Amino acid sequence: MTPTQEAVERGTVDLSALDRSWAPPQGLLGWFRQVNHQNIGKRYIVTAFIFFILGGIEALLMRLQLAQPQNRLLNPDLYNQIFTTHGSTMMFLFAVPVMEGMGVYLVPMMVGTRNVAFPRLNAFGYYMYLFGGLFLYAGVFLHIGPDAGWFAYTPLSGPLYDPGKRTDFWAQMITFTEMSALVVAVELIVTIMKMRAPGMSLNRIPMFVWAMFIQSFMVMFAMPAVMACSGMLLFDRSVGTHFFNPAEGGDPMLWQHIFWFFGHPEVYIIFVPALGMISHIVETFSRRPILGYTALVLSQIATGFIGFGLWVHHMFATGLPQLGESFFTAASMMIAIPTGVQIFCWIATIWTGRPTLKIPLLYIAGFIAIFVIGGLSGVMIASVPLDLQVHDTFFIVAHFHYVLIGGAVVPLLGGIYFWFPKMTGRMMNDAVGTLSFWLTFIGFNITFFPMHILGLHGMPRRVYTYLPQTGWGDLNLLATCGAFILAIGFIVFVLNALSASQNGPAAGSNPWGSSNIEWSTPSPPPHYNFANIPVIRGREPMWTDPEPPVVTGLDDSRREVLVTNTLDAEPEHRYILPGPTIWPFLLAVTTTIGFIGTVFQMWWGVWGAALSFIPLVGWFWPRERPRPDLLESGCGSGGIE
Amino acid sequence: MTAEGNINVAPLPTIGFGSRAPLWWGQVYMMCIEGTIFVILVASYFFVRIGFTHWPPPSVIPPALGLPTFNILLLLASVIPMYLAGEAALKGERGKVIVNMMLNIVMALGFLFIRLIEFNRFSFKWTTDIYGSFVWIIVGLHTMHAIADTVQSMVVLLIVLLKRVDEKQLLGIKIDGLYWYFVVGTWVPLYLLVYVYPNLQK
Repeated sequence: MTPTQEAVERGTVDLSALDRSWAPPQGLLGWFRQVNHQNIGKRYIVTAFIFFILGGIEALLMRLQLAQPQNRLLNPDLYNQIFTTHGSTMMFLFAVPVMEGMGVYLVPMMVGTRNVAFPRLNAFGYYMYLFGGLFLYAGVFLHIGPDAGWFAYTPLSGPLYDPGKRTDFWAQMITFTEMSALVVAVELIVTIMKMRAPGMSLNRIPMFVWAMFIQSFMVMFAMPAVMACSGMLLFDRSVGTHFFNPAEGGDPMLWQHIFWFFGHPEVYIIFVPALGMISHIVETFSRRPILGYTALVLSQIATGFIGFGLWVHHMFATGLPQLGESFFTAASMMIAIPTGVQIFCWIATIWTGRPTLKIPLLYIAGFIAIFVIGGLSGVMIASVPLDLQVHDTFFIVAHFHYVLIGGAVVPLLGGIYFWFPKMTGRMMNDAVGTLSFWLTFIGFNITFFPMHILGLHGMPRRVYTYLPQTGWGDLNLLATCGAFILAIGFIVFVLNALSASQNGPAAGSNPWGSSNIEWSTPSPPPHYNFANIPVIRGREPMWTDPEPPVVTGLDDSRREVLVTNTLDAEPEHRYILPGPTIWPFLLAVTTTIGFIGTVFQMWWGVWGAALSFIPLVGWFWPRERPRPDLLESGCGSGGIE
Repeated sequence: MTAEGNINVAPLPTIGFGSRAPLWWGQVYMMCIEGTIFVILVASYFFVRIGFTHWPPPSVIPPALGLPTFNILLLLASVIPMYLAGEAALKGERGKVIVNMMLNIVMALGFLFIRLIEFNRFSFKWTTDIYGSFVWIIVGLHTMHAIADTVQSMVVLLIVLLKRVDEKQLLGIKIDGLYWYFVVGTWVPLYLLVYVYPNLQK
């Protein structure tokens, strides 16, 4: 018997009322009015994977171009656009949004509530992300794709060396996507602070929720930096300010400082959610509580702080004072400590548990292997003399693909495999899963390991070709072959997911025997997540307390959730969440008009703001709420705000 | 499932104020984000300033102190009616809410008008040099915030005028006030930076 049936039998919940209150809007127009976190989260994930495929195609094009010396597949200009778009897509349109999507989908379920704290803002964030991505790709297909690298260093990206609109498209795409990331960060932090199920005190928060909490704080303090500098760059390019113009007292180095003040935390913004996923997978398949919960949480918090003190290690080759370089070398080496603590905790959990090597755990094993190699090359280039040798070479390309794909994408695939049954109600195929894992793992290493050697031999990044005399041809060809194996691995994974979502065997509510409360809901979960909000009495409630007491007295006839306090999750008050509405979509449209117009003419900023006034008023205008006396008699459920 | 240990939340209120309200926290974090943007601009200002022996560059006359000083006093004073509006809202005194909100909006509009004159009196443009660029972006960004919250206050006032004031609108008034405190609070260090600091350097 599912928990939902039990609750109905016990008469604590009016399921039909809950169903009516939380029902998603229907029809084509309904798609634009959606505010449920499950739907918005899934949209983020699907959209991000579409951009992942686009970024992957760009990667393959680059690999084909580099497969042999003096290849003529791509001309230098197209090559520049493609590597810039590849980097920008993977960082801004795939890695961050997919993690946000996982957070939006999972966090409310994992903390035991029914939606995020600001559902309309959540929808708005998704549309901003979508429009930003479409805007960038509109540029790419019109042959005005950005071509100054995903970090757009000035003065190359400035008005003098990059006329036209290419970098403006890039800079404005940043504004779109960062806005989206920021609203998700705010709503997740507030959801985690104020909407946890009663009893889920700080020391019982699931690891992935901790990870999203820390990641969101990093987003909140890192993303404003890139919004500020991309805005300043836009002004330099369009209205003649001089922020990065040395002729009038500006400083191109200012760009690098602000950009990397964002750019380094960005790496951890991608990586920290993956750490959270790993802890759940390791715990579930080791069949024992995670070892070192406190150490893991504290290590992640430490990572969040130290992540802000590393940015200069991207700038060792710019001639900074030696004291500064030494400081950032020390900080860069220091961050290996909390990462090491976490890896040892996971290994110890597996060691002392009764591990079963299911596919998600296989991915985690792959993660540990790849990430440790990436971490080791990271410690190497944290040292200034070595960094100066390999700066701007393929050694760096190898390093950051080892940490980003190894540290984030591989655990993400494991995480998707792990939560796929919850999201769709169906299991992915294990045999195909094994195949896709090994293709990915082997293909990845064949692609990127040779790049270490190429880099040490001096092959520079961001060049569209090289001479045959350099002797780099063989390793490059090997890397290109590897890239195709890797791509086939990803394709097999996607096909597996697509086919399983249609024909996979039914999953049941807790197919892996996992420990956290999201597994107590049916798969896929109903729109309200939980028929009854559970009371949490332990860190692994599904293992130690499978039949918990529940929260009663929430009004099922409207979108009501429980607000609890931050430290101990004691109930404070009930809270009515808004239902479906078109205003977030319309606001995203008017904001987009303003943003895109600004690329061409600054006054559009004003027109965009003026236009946005209408949807904003519509959004905040209070609607009639059901009167309590009508509610009592059961006929007041229509007027939910 | 045991009925024992169930928590009945029906007696709890449907709204919380201050740090109990999710909306309050949302606003606080919005302020963190916007505050971070200002901090980054200020840090950039000093980063660039290090490269100069004379600041502002000798070719530029820094803005005079008189009018901006009057204006910041006006801005600081506008906090009082905003605070009183919030207090009146908590007590449910609709009349006082309306009067104080109106007073706040009039002061805010006055502030914005004088701000316009400040802009006109700058002896430099954003295109003049790096100093001009920074002054215009910092004052401009702050002005955008001030305009946004003034418009927001007007909408809140309109809602109070047209609709029955219930708990949710009270929360709206408090949150609107919180944002105005942010607009006023950020201007104090920015005023010192933009107007006082360059005059001290002479």
